Amino acid sequence: MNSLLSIKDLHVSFGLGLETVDAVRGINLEIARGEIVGIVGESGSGKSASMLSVMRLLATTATTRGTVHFAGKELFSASSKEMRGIRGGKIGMIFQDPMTSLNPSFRIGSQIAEAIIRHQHVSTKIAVSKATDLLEVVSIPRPSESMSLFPHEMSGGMKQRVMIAMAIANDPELLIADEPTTALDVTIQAQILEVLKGLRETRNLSIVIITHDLGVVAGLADSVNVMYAGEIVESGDVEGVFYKATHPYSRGLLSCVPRLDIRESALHPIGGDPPKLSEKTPGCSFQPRCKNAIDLCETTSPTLRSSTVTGLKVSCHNPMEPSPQMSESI
Amino acid sequence: MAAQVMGGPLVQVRDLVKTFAGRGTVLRKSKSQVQAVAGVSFDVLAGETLSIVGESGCGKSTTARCVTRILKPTSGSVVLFGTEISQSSQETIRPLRRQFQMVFQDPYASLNSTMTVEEIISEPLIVHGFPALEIKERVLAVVQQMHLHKSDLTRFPHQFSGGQRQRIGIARAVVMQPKFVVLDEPVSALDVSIQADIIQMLEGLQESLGLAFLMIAHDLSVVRHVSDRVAVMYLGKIVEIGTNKQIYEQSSHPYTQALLAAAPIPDPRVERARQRIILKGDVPSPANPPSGCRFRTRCFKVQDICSQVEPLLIDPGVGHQVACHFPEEINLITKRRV
Ligand SMILES: Nc1ncnc2c1ncn2[C@@H]1O[C@H](COP(=O)(O)OP(=O)(O)OP(=O)(O)O)[C@@H](O)[C@H]1O
Ligand SMILES: Nc1ncnc2c1ncn2[C@@H]1O[C@H](COP(=O)(O)OP(=O)(O)OP(=O)(O)O)[C@@H](O)[C@H]1O
Ligand code: SF4
Ligand SMILES: [Mg+2]
Ligand SMILES: [Mg+2]
Repeated sequence: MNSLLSIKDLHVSFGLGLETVDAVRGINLEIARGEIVGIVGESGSGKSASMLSVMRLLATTATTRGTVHFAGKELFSASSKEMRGIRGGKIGMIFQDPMTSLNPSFRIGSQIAEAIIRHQHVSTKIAVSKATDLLEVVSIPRPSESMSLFPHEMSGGMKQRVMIAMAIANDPELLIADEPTTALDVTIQAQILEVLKGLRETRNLSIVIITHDLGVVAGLADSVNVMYAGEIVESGDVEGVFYKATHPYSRGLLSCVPRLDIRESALHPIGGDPPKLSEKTPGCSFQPRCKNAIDLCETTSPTLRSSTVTGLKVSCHNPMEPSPQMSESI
Repeated sequence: MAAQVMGGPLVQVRDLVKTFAGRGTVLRKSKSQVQAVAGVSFDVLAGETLSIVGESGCGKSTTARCVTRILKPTSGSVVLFGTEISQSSQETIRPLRRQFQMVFQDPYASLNSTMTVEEIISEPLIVHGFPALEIKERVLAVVQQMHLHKSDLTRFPHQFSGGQRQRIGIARAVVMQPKFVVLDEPVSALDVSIQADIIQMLEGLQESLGLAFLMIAHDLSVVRHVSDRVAVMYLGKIVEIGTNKQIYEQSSHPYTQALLAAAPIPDPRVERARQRIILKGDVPSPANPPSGCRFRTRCFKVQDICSQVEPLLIDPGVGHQVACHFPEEINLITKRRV
């Protein structure tokens, strides 16, 4: 087994008053060293919850089930002390909300240096010099002067770069990036994506990137997982998912986005809304919106299996034919 | 969505300027002025969609708010349906308001949470003194058009999803059957599967009501799909304006080109084979814009003249215009695999 991260049958539920929200419903995920894995899916599908649970950073109202092995170590049974060493050490994380990881009242230089000292036990002088180098790595202009800025003195794109610098400060093996470019303008997004690609190249860093932007995944990821209502409904290598997907939700997702390079195409909305995660249904959770549904879909929930046709894993009783148009160039 | 050119533009904006008193920072207490919109001119024709794109803070919303007179322009002219409204009192504008409406980005914040959907949608009709029977008919018609249920009318905004709320906001805007609707990021806050829904409905409305849209957006793919013409803004100015084809396939301003090159395409082979333009640095502060060309600090074609002489758009009409000393047409969009 040479996976760096191996998630098995992960479940996450939140207690909300009398209700239970089943946010993640049994996902499996393997991430190899140096691999960039994309997780896509609509808002509320459990992308953040699944990765926060790996880091054991979920709210106390959450209950988690399953196993997570990181570099051979099971994380759910690790001690809090061990977790503190792993978080921000071997696993770096960029959060969806930048202000959760930057403290507004400290200069960014000292925040990065402190993160280095916490894990590497080096002198302040060495930590400061490492922090300055990191700002250079993430392309912050005039790194030594920028060390003394406060977060509010920086633009969104600059803050995002500082967050990346913090996340990689201790030379992690895995970077979990939750919507790292969503709040940014496209020209800044392009800069950040270059930084991430560079890190994989130079450090053989593994990256999990959570995003709702299929274009970002198309350009960056080696493999893609499509999530719907807490489950992975289709997964495989990036070209497979983009050109040969057969799950009706993946296909819906791919054909509802307008493309920069095509004008005339009509959009095909999926229609309907995602299910309430507090309500349990016996069948496939996409069934109420699915145009391909058969009787079985209403009563029995499908499981993720390898498709001999596409080489992808798909969770569907009645997958679609691979689209000849999508797979034309393969 | 073909534009019909009949009897002059519906909306004519000339040299629009909006200045805000700066917020000042901890370091610099002296309050500088922010010229959020620094001389913008464009027309909107009957039945067309003109989109304004550009990065955060470039003045898109401020332009929209000046055109709909939510804000009072500092200077310049805004002519709506033949009437100059840039400095008019709200009193004078009120009768015109039947004909233009605005839809906001945030479907959560823009609807009054204490009102039912029926009250929200019928409010503009009541304000304009429509008879009760007609109000009922119009509300029902628009609710159907937006694929909402009759039973939704008695519910409150918080009982709806984001996409449904945006449909309610749009229903409210079109119930008066206006000629012109300003949409400020109407789909940005929504999931892609819901976006497609709203875009289709907007297209349907435009066709059935002959509406003109001024749409603010930052997603260049969405803009390509819905627009007849596109204006690209940078730091308070329009740097390029033209038809959909001119902007997407014949762009000539380095900034437009950088935007197009940076917008990801959801197709791995196409996306990985594209020409990249990675700009240096960040957008400068609008309180202290660069001399000459405002884009010069990030431009990959910058020359000495760019810091000395401001490149201007020549004529504000409907042609393809580029504010650059060294315009050069490039098609950055790799043709689709086919
Ligand atoms: N602390 C919490 N308490 C209760 N429910 C929660 C909590 N955090 C998340 N949830 C619920 O769990 C589900 C999954 O949330 P999650 O944040 O993982 O979604 P996501 O896929 O990351 O969405 P987005 O794209 O909006 O970030 C949602 O229904 C959400 O409302
Ligand atoms: N009421 C205000 N007071 C002071 N400054 C303002 C005000 N409204 C906007 N600004 C400033 O004017 C500039 C343009 O803002 P505007 O909201 O028009 O940008 P935008 O292009 O719509 O950006 P976004 O894409 O983020 O919505 C920004 O620098 C902004 O900070
Ligand atoms: S005028 Fe100069 S700086 Fe401005 S966009 Fe053109 S080449 Fe670049
Ligand atoms: Mg999330
Ligand atoms: Mg805005």
